[in-house]
Amino acid sequence: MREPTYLAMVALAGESLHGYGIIKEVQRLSRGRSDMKAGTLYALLDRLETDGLVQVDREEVVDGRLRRYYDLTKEGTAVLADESLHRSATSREALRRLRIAGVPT
Amino acid sequence: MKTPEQRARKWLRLYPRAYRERRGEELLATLLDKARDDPRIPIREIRAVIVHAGSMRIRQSRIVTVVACAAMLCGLGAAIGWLSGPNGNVSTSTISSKSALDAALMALNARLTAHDTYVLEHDQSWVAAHDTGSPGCTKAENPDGCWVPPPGYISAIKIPNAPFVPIGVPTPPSTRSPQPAGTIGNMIQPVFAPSQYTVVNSWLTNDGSQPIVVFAGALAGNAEQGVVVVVGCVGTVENPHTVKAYPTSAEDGALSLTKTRGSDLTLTAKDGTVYHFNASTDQYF
Repeated sequence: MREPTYLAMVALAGESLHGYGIIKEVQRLSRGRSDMKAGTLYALLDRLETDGLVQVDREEVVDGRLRRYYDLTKEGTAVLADESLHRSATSREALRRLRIAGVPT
Repeated sequence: MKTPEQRARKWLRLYPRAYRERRGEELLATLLDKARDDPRIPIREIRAVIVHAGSMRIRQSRIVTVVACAAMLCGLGAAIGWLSGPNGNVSTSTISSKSALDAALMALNARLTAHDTYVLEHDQSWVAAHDTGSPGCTKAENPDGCWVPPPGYISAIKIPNAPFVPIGVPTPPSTRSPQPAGTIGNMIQPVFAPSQYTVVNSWLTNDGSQPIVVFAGALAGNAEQGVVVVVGCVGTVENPHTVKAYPTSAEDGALSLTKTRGSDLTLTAKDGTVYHFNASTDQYF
């Protein structure tokens, strides 16, 4: 799973967000390193929707503009959990090897 | 001056209609939410829209996106085209989407410098734009380094059996006599074969030292529905070139040239959208 996809799914874990909300949350999660573009976001959402990992939660019209809120499906939640465990295990292994190599972590 | 919403709506027209109907308003809202932070709508945002829109069109297998990018001979110009037609009759399986999108970015945001060289090839049935990197660039000139294409790098697109054809863009009356392609002191060579495009206009810069040529072309069979190529050509290799391509969708139809003055020109689409273009100074917008 690519980083933007992972970050977007993390953003949607436990809450539903609209497009700009996801972008802001991804920015926060990445500590400002990721500035997701709208075109990128919707390409990602298209894919996640097609794969059944996210779904539309509700729609609102704010200031005359459509806001569509998304959340994770059950399958999306499971995929995110699996990916997170995998990433966590990889991170632990990386830290272990760095410590052995004498790199302060 | 266009508002952010007008600009955003213009770029969202790159998406297939069905996608716009499904996602357009939502995408617009997100773009405008982001534009609250930067009302100019950064080029990076537009690029992402172009890439996404291009991929949607390619995915639907209903659209052919063609990009051509070229440098003029004698180091006198630069040219780029970006073509598309909703009823394209070319199998999109032959098109590398990455190359197409790379080239689309070039077409829509190309600003050639003395160290960029694009070479266009065509054999009547396909075009390709190769970025050859920075030939002649030295560390003394450019301490930041010279870009060298990695092995295998190519920004190109091949469109088999899709020759370019002229489109009906009238040559406007001008105090400076428009000239046929390739005749301005033999300095300008057409990017495409003469039968494949229309020279919309050509003139010299105000000081008379540089030619400016605007070409237009469209995919065969899609003259009314394809994307129009507009090419600005001015300057020398020592000076930056600016090139632009103006897409039109099926709703827009062909562009018409409504005004020229010096290196400025105005193009009007059938839906009334007006595009301003300055061949010597314009950037993206």
